[in-house]
Amino acid sequence: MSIGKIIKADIYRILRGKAIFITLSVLVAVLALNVGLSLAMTRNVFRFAHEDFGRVLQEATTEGEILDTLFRQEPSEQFVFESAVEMMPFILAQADNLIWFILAAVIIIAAPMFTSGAIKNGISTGLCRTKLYLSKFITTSVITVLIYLFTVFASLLVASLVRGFGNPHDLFWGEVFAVIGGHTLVLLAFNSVALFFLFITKRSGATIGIFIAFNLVPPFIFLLLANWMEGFQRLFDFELSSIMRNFTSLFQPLVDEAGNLFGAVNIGFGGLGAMMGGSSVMTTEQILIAICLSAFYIVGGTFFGVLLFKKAEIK
Amino acid sequence: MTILKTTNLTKVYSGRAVVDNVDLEIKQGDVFGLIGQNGAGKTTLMRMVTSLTSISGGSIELFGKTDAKDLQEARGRMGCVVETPAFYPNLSAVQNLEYYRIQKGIDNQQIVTEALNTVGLGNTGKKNFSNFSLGMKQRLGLALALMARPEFMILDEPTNGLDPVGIIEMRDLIKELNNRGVTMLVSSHILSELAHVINRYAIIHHGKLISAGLIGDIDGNLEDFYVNTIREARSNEYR
Repeated sequence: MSIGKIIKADIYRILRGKAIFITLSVLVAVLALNVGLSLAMTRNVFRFAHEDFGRVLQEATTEGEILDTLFRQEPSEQFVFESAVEMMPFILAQADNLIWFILAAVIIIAAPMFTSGAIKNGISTGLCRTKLYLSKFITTSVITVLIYLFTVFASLLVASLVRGFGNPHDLFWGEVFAVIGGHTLVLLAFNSVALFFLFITKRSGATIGIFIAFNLVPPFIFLLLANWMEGFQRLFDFELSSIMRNFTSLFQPLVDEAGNLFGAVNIGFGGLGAMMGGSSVMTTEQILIAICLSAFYIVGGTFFGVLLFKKAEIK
Repeated sequence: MTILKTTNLTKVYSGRAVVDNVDLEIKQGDVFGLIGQNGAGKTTLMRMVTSLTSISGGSIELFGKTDAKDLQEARGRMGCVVETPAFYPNLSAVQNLEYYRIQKGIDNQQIVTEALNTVGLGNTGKKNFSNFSLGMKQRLGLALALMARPEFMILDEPTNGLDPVGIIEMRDLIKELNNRGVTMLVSSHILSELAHVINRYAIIHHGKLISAGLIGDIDGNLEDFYVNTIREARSNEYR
């Protein structure tokens, strides 16, 4: 039994279930919501309405009165993203959301053989455990890459159709592909981690729980430590979720031009991401750490996953 | 030719040997009956042979292979139904077998229909596995085991959940397969049924092999012989 045949059989099974189609529908809905909202997002333009600060400050009695007197909102509103090029940081930042779809893909592709017990049919008649593990890794990795590329290019297409493509600066495509490369690596690391948890626990519920903890607990601890002592801020360089956000910052030159839009967008995503989000471009050292760490999760997760699965009891 | 040989095969769980130094030898053409009470170690022994659980000691030789990698390949010549058959619940019988046909790289698409017809599941249509009765699940497990045209089959309680007619059909099927040259290792609680099909037996009690031989060498019927052997083993334990 080759890895190719195992993958082919899995595709046959997946296409006969509803789960993959439901997941893809949710992905498209989330994309549509994100892209639609960001395209509709407007910014209010305020102008100074008064030149004499001193007099306004003396005469006004409340803060509201000061603001109302000093500033005047322009009647016309401007879109935050005037073109697909301007929207690119936001499009790339959507990778943050994809880790949950990767988890869903891992659960859909690999969990049923454990939950149904069907795994024993193959193993008992000579199916190589290493090949089985690698086949799931390859299938989920391909789906991970496809989901990410679909997210980026579908969003870019929609933004281009609605607002036009815009004028990319010289380094635009280089930066885009650098971010895509970095994100792909991190997403594959997440995939490897999710698969490892699944093969160790053999339960979808436990995998989901541990994966959520893996994403939330370390950043939270790092955040507390960083608040306590500034030096601990560096810990975020060794954490996958932070690395994902940092990779988006490779787009920083454009972000600067667009008035640090990424910062605003990142806050829009909410939560820890906003606090930890890459507000400055990654240094070469950070990029190297990010690549090494992601590669470690991919190779190490798969290696130890296979090692433990080879000795595991099949119920 | 020896199909399966275990030497001092042992499985230890939490410091307790559930299979204790078991030596078995199954020769080509045998229908070998593995007999024992619940928890005697029959299923654990089968799980070790099928690599569903690791062995704590001893060795397994299958089709003359002992090396781990060769053993794994040799298992490809087996068909197994160990414990309750498990399949993907949202797929029908045809889809489940089709999945394994693709996985095993069997080109002949007709083999799925043939296997289902052999076990009497040819007309289950789109009914999902989750809606199958225990008897139907047992039959589907057998269909999967048959699909790859195995030379050696391991059937753990194959009559579980079958109605009286199904039990007789299973007996006939085992005989027919054996006539076609398939060697079998069968465990069952229904000794009267087992006696109709097996030519050799082994009795396991508390993980130990306490008796083995040819069914023709037994005086009287298998049930009486089994009960007496177990009683004797118990009295030896108390001494």
